[in-house]
Amino acid sequence: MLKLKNSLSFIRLPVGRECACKYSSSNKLEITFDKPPANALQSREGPHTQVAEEKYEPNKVATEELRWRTPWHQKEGQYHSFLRVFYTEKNRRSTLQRLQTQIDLSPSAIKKWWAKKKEESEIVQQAYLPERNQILGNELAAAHFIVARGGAVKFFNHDEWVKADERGKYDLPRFYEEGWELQAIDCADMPLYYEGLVNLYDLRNVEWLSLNGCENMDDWCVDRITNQFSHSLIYLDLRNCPNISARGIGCLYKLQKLKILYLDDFMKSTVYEYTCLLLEEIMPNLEIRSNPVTFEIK
Amino acid sequence: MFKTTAARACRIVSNSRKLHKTCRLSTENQGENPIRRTLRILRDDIKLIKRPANEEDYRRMLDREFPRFCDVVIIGGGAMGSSIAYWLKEKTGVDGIRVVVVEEDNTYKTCSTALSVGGLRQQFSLQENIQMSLFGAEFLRTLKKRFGPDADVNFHPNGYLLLSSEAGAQQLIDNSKLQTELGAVNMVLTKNQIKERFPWMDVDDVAVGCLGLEKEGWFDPWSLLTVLKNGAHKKGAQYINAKAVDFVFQNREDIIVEGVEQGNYEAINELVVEMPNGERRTIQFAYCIIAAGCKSKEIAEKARIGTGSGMLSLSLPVEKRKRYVYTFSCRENAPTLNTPMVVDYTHMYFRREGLGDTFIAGMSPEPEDEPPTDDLEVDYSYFDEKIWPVLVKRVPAFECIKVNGGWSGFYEYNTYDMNGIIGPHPYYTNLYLATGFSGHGIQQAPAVGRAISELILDGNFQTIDLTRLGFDRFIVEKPMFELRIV
Repeated sequence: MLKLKNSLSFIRLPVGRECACKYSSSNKLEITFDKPPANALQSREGPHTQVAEEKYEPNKVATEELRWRTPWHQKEGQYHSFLRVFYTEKNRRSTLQRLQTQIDLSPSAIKKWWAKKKEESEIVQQAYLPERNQILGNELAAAHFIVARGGAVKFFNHDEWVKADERGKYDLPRFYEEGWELQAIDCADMPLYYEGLVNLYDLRNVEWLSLNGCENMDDWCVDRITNQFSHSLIYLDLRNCPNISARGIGCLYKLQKLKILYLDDFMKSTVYEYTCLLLEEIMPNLEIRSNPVTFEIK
Repeated sequence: MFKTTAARACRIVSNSRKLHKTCRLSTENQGENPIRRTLRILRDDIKLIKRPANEEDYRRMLDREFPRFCDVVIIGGGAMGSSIAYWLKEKTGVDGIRVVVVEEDNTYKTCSTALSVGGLRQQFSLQENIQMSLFGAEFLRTLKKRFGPDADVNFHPNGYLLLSSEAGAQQLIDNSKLQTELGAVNMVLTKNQIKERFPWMDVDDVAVGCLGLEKEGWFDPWSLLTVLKNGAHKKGAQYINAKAVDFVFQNREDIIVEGVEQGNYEAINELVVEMPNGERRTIQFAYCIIAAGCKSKEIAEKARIGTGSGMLSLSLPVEKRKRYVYTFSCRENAPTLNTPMVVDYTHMYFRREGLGDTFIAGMSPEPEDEPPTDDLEVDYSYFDEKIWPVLVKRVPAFECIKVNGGWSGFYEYNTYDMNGIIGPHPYYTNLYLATGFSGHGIQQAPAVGRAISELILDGNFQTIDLTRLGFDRFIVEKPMFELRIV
């Protein structure tokens, strides 16, 4: 046996030896499987309309139904040669690739590799943890996520911002408690990734969000944020996010209550400026500011 | 005994194809002295032992000669073909398998990828389509990580809005449930909610709509093609400007394929291509992938798919269909930023193009209105007669518009069930298909490329199981159609 591939088996045998599969002497396709296809070889003009009437649902067709041949090695009567011991369903593609790739040991390549590894691990760190949300509830889980990474949050009916001190300590309930509802999230200068934004889903009433200095934010992140906070956000700060383009700004109309939007430089380019003007036109309550704002976090 | 040997020798000499011919693909050194050429090739081969430090030089050296042999030949260098080439090289490395992409037209003038509208949506009813589009969105998002900081496809995250009449409402809601289950983010809106969000729209005859909230919108397909092509080329795939015209068959009695009478299997492992100067050459391959879009059927017939007997009597149900896209401008009260890509239940779609009150629109014609597919002429009366009345009904502000122009492109229309055909051909052990995407292929190109590379390199699907979209569905009669929203 040379190779087994999908459901298709092909083997190299001395010519003249009988094969286990049945075949007919005629030219017509005759395949040995349980249910012979009724009109397999007839012309098929618009079968979809015809089948649709019988409530045929494509999503309910199982993968096995597509298999009309038995792989050679699964057939009865096929002997197992001792070489089969060395056969695995998994192949060693990645090992081969690693062997064939040249190892670059120049300092710049190592630096790049290290940066990539660090980024990958940071992305894994920011992934959604179902346990965290189950123990804390969405609001507190999001708060823990932000504060532990150097951000700050503020809750309704709590006058002070919560922020970690120099040693990384902060004061937040460690289990679910009633009455904690996020009002403001400050992610200034946090290494927040797209994958980390998944922790901010289903927050009830966040009115204030600052992404000032989150360099990894791009249009796709804006897309996600506009969905997550579409019902509540009033203040949004997108300064020092060089990867957000006019196209990302253009979809901020989805934030229905947005009133204040901070941007780096309103006049960055003509398209950018025009997008901002159009945004102000369709959102009469919106004010776009590009002067620096100062605020203090206690 | 002597007779047969002599006959074989005669055949080898008379059959010019068997003689190894090399040619330079670049125009420099045309009419080179054969001895010089031999020496140069030998010199290049020796140079290749010590690999040039510069990757660019190395690739140029490999690209210079016509590939007489390769591991995988891909027919068609559009988004699909380039994506497959990229993934094959990505999974094996520069020194891995040799991949050759045969592209007929270097300018991509009639390539469907370049002429597509570039929508990105997950609003399908078939599980595989949703998963492939989700991966497409993920691929586009992480494009910079793969292809460097310059790779950009100008994604507009403006969403997709599917509108449905009373009859299709239940279907739309069911689809939305399935999409949400698989990870798409969308929302079913009632008539009033649509009116509230998009006050410029007239939705009196609409029952519900489904609005994509994340990862939906549109992008520039030409940029994606360029990024994929450059990415594949950088990883070592070779693009040659030639037209695939024929396959060379070989009777292989030693290969047994179930469903084929033993001893009758005819294998293909050579592709005949026609160079721009009319010269014919052959490329020997281990695997061949047909990703030639609307020309796939033509090429498949060269491999006797649809003309042979038995399994080969099933033809590839991929047809060329022409679709028009019109651009128009609306000067007064035009919807501006808050315009998602709207797909009406009449299968008319429109979206904003740029910021200057310009829009593009198109429509899938009824079967009796199918335009001829001989050329890419645009029929403007179709817009006036069919699209504009629907458009005005949907958006009253489009009452006074001016058509600026339009273009048309070919769909690789799968007449069987309007979905892609991905995977191996049941007869051949080394022929794979990636075609028939019927107009929604561009967003699935990354996923299809990955799937085909998994089939070839890993032996089966590793990530998204696309078995149900294989050619086998024509044999077992299980159409995988999209449940259309009416």
